[in-house]
Amino acid sequence: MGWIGGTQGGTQGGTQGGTQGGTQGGTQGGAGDGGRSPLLAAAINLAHDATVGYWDTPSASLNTPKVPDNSESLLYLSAARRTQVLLAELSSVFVVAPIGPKTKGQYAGASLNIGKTAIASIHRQNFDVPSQLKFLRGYADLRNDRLAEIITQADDIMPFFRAIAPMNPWQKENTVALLYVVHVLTTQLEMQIKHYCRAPRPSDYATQVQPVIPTPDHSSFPSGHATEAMVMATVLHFLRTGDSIVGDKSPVPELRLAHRIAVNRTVAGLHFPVDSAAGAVLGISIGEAIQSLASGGGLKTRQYKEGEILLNSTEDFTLTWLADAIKSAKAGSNNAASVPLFSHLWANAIAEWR
Amino acid sequence: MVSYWGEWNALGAISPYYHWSKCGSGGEPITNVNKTAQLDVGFTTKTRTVLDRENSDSENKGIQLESEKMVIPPYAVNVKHTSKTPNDTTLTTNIISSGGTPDTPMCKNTIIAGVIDVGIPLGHNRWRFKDGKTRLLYAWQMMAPWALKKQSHLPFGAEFSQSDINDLLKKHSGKQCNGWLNEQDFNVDTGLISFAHRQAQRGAAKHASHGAHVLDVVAGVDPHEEEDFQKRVRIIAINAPSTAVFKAAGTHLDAYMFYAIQRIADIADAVWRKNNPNFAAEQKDNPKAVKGYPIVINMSFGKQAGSKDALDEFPAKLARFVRQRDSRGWSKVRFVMPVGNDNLSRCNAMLEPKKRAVEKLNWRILPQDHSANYVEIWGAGAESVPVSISLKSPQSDAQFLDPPNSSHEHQYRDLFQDDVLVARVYLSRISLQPEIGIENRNDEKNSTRNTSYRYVLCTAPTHWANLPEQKETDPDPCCEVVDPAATAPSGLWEIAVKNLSDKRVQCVLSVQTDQALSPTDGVNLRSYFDDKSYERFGENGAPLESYSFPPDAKGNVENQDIRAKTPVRRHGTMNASAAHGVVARVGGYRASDGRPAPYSATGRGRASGQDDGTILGSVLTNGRKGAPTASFPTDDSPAHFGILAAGASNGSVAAMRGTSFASAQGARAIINMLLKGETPKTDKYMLFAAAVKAEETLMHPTKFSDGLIEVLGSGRMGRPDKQDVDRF
Repeated sequence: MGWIGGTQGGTQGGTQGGTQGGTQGGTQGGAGDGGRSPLLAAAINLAHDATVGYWDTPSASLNTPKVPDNSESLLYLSAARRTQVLLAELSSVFVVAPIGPKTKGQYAGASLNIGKTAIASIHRQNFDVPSQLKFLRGYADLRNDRLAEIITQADDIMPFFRAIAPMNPWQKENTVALLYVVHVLTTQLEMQIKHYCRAPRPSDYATQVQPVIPTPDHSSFPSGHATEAMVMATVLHFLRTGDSIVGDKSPVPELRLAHRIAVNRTVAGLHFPVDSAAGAVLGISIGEAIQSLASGGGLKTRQYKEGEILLNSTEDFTLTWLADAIKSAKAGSNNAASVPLFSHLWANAIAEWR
Repeated sequence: MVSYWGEWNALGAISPYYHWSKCGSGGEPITNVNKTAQLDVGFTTKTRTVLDRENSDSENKGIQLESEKMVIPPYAVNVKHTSKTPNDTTLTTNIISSGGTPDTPMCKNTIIAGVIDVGIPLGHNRWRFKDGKTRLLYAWQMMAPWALKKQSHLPFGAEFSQSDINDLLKKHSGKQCNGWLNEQDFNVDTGLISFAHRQAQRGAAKHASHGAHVLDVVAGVDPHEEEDFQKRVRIIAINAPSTAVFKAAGTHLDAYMFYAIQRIADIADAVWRKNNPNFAAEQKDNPKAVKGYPIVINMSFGKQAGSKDALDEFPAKLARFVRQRDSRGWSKVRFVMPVGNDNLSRCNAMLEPKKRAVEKLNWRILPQDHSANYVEIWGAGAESVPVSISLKSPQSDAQFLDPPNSSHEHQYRDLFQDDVLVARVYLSRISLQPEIGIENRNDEKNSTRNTSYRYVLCTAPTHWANLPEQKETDPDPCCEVVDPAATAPSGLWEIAVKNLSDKRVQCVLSVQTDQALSPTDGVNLRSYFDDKSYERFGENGAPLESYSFPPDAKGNVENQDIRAKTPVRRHGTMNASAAHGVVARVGGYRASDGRPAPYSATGRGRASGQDDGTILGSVLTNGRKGAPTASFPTDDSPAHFGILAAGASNGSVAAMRGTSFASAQGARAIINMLLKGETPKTDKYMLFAAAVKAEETLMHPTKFSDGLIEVLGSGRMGRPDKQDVDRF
């Protein structure tokens, strides 16, 4: 039940609550807010006995409740329940599978599939650690400058996207709800992928890294922040403008922000640039797939691997590299999956912007 | 603990700073400073001889550098470049498009703004035209990877012409000059930042960078405003190395500065030539016509210790450069520099022992200090050095080191503790020829002093940052000494000066500049003179400045250096790179109340010693200057520090504080005067008269009866660049 409370805490608690705070607060809050007070139950019971009288069920007149159409609208549900349903619908479509065979006990990577289409295949990367550690050293010089961003983005990146495009639960309720669902879905998917791609953190290699915030327990590769930020960027930009973030034009504001959020993790000492590169490819793929599922259209596939999209060991994760890398997507199968409930929310969210 | 001094050893013509940094424990020279290339600096104006075909005056070689080793990071150096490297025959095509003019046409009355600084982002919109093209004529990124452009004529780094910059602007702006600029990737492509090299600069990737701030004040404008300024003021930018390269004490700073100055002049002159092909004919009608665009160069750098007159190597070479340009009919180059921020650093002292007497001074060296510490002691000396010194560590006894009777110009002695080399004393007899054109005050008797002695006291760091096993895997020019055991003891060292002569002598002691060893490192701690009579704070707990504040009803203030009986003085903290008449020296003041900025260095003042409180006074000969030329606001709000100017990124603003930004304002003020056609004949700095006038006409909140010339210069000028909002 934790993530019910997470919904409330995360959305309304906002910056401070975030996903984690919402989860913890929700578990505790849910018990209290759910009206399960023993005192209240006893009081209602007493009032019932005092006021109902004899209940002759066969002859008592009954109401005729109207059962709404089994439509896609979930408005009759609480926000928390709505999110449960939507997440379950989406989770049934996205499937993570390891890529084999195993070498020395490690999978080659993980793929994210919708039906028969692998929309993103993230292959474990054998990179030259010293070359990548140079970037950790270089970016560490920016720590003082970016501490505020690093600390606040550790738990919640949404305020930064809200700075680009104002959103709140009252004016863009559907967008806020949609982005939250997408964010939670992304986290679930990326954690599975990280498990199959499990790789050490920079601080596992060198004591000099000394990240400025605690190192998370999950795999360094691919970067979760890069993944989540790119999903948000892809989805939000489409909602806002109807355009893809992939193209020949200058990087759009959402993409620039997502890139910076990803790079800040390298500044903090938590990720190699290659982690962010793989995460960015994964995130954009997820975002495009969500868009395709929700509004119809073909799926795309990308592979983060040698010979496809790959950041070399001596390269940095730059906007220029990203803009070129994400253009190379191949067409997948026609989208055979259906997410009618999510699509309904999607349409409502678009309507909030246009 | 056993301490002992070695004997005097002879030293060739080599800088003590360089020599000390080369040697490890036991005096063994390090033959491989972590594979850093070292070049003979023989970069002359060979480019000039290519263009100056009608006058191949072989004597005029611009700034000639003696054979001096430079330390250049391996990724930046052109290992094949030597003093015999062929001329830069591609200069004109590098700089000027095939049409014979830069991408944006030059005005006839162009003024060149030369800025030598660190972290100048070439794509910033404050130095672009409204069509997005750059106003930079040229940029030399000294620490760019040489492989970026593989320019054989350059000894290090990479240079970019205006068209190179415009091409990169288009590349990173969605193929149009006016689009959103991907600044990080542009800065990587222009060699300004790199995250792959430890010693590389990254200032421009931060919110604020020194170079962006300075260039904005010197020559930045909104692209949609001040069109005349944009067209007429064109910029040559030199991105200099950071202190990680030229070392904490500025060991190699001067060499880089000379390269930069020469290149600015060469480029400006080359562009002028291309745009004035008929000058020879025009000169027949007007023999007094001057070749070249007027050039104003801002250099916000400086080293504290030195002779603090124009005999120091740096100003002497600048003076020679200026003289040679004048003699050949080329335009004036005006240099502007900050006085420095060392006013309260306790880095300056004067000892004046009577005949045969001894005077002492404590020198506090801090623990956990990753850099060497230096003190210079200067005094007048003829045939013999009139003082001997003693340098006593916290763990040794005092021993006077009598100057050797030797014909060698430079000698040194080592201090060992338990057989570990912890300190060294260098003694030099310096005989310099005064440059023609250096001003001397007419009322000084015996106005030429051309022999000085200089002691340089060096101590090892008190803590080592780099371990020997890192040496091979982490090539780092900052790793100066191998042996981690060779640390000097921290604490109170004692410097004693013994007068060997029969009359009172004056010794000027300065703690040398000590900047960060690598970008953002704050682990080098500057030593200072720790004298119990030096009062740091007043009765109200505020730091004591050069003068007491507020002034009384008549505008009088009290000179703190006269009141307190201590050899440590605020007067005299003007840094050696600027304490002379070859450059315009600029200090800072607070706009809110008109007071001098507490950190803005103070000159020694009047020759009689009235200002610095010395008995023998200071001798204003050989181009020595006792005060700044002028001052500008370096804190413009009662509640916020610094002044606002461009941040490192387009559209951003940052507050930065220091006399670096006063210097930039001085350069801007000179440019403004040149734009108006003001070139007073008697004021080669142009600021002096303007500052006097500004002091009279601007409504400063505080007026001083005496003007406080040693700290405010001839007057307080207003901020010369346009400000859209007041800061309060």
